[in-house]
Amino acid sequence: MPERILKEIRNIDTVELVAICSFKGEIGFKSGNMIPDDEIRQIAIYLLRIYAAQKLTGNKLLSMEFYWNNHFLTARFADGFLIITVCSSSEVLALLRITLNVTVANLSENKPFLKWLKKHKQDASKHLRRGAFDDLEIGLISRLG
Amino acid sequence: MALVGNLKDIKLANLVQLNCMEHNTAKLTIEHNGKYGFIYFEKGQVVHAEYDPFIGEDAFYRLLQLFAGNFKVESGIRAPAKTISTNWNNLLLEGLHRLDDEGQGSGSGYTRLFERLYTIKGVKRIFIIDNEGRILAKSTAEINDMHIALALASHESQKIGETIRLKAPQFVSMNMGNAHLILVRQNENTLVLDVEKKTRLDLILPLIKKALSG
Repeated sequence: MPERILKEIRNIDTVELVAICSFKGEIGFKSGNMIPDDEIRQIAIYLLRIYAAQKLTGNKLLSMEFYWNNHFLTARFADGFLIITVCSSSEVLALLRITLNVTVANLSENKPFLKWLKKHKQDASKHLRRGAFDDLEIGLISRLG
Repeated sequence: MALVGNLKDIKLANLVQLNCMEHNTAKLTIEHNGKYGFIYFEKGQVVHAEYDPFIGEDAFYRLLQLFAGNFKVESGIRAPAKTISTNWNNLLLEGLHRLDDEGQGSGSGYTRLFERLYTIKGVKRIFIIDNEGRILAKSTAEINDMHIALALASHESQKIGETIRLKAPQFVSMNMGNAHLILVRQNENTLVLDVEKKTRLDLILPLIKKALSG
């Protein structure tokens, strides 16, 4: 069923990639090949660091959108997982937001998905403690919370 | 009848000047993000100011930092206390000096940028942070402790761009349920706009772009 849900998102005009990642940063389900898996995992880790840093300052990050000229990346955070999508038109972002909200609700009731999620459970804050960091990240993370 | 408006349309310094030159006795109330500030005039002199937790000149200078907020001027209301004795001219001059000095790396450049951004409907607060999370300029006194986490968000956004062989994103939107932030990378610094929750990004982003191009 997660695959069918992903296909629904992929069917939105100009959506080139959709991936569901656990808070461990592992890709659970994916549709589209425009970004290699190792790069998706790396993006997921950067997003989870942002999410965890916000959580430390008392904010619950629900979603993020990144705007380049002809590329748009969205991240929808949910309980224990996040959905990353990439599209090439800003006109579909509004529809994408609504679809992702429905997707999160559907996934939260999907048994195979929940079983996978349980296996990959992790606190996002681990991404602030473990991993490869540059000097700026080390400095900023040390001053958080 | 009370005079009401928003500081987006008239600067607080101009409002103070107007009341002083008219020799007014009045109470000026400013509401910004649910917080209230007060300035009292007596016969054209500023005699008292409050902006929690500040009182007197400190409160007055903090209020001058506001670029937005609803205001109301009620004539004939006298101050509950006298905490300011400095002549209004000197008070205003000192306040404007502080505004220029306080965290504004490039003088009044940010002030003009903030003014342009504040004309955009939905913009509530603006601040600029450097890549280490230091606040370079801010439109309001209180921005909580979010600046470090936002500097990290800006840095990680740049790295996300690099991962897929793109530059730093032009805009990053962060929806936090109770707040909606827009991050705009400007060289090594990040401009952060706190916008109203229901703001439509497709409408506001072109306006921000236009304001930035100046």
